Amino acid sequence: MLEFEIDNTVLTAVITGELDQHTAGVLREQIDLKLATGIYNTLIFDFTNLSFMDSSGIALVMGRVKNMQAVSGNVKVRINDVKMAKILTMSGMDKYVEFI
Amino acid sequence: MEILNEMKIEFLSRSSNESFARITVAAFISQLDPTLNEISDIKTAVSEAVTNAIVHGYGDSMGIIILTTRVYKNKTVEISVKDMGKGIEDIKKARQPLFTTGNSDERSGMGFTVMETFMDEVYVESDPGKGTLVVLKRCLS
Repeated sequence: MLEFEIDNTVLTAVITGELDQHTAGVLREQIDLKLATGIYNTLIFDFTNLSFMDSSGIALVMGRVKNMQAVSGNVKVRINDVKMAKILTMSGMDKYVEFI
Repeated sequence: MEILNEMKIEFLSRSSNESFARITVAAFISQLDPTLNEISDIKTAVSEAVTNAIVHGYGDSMGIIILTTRVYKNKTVEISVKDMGKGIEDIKKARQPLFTTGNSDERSGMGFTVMETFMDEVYVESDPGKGTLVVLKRCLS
């Protein structure tokens, strides 16, 4: 499940439920559609209500980092589950993404 | 090691079965009374192995995945994920962090690293053109 919160040029994608390779496809499409408007310079992934995440989460975030870097924007991640945070940082993404 | 119980299921390589596989394994291993932390680790590793079989083993074609779970009296869980897909040419390379043959927008190349982090042992056997077997082991507390 995906919901957007918009605050000027900041787009927050609130993702709930399970994030795996199966659910990542639709999330990716919907987020990219929003970003394609060119309005936003910051994308925040809100994973605080996620019940499951595997390495598909890494590709979802890093793919968006690439897109946002192209327009000098940035990506932040809000997460409190230690294990999910570990999966994300395992890839070294904390060099490119601010964890808030 | 003495086996306490065993289950085996077969399912199509549809991505919707990723959640089916990890939930089924979690339900089966509950007889060993694992901690929430252990269940979460095992579900994550199973999800990675099954996703690999679906995305890399079968790709655009559809095939059967065989998932076997054994629980042992000494509280060890052993899960094997087998596909009859295209196989892995270079297992050593495939297990390296960030290596992927997939689309980088969809795959991170961290699947095996996640499995190795959350399980005690990860064994991979593959025959190019014939398929891949991944065996995951974890001793519970």
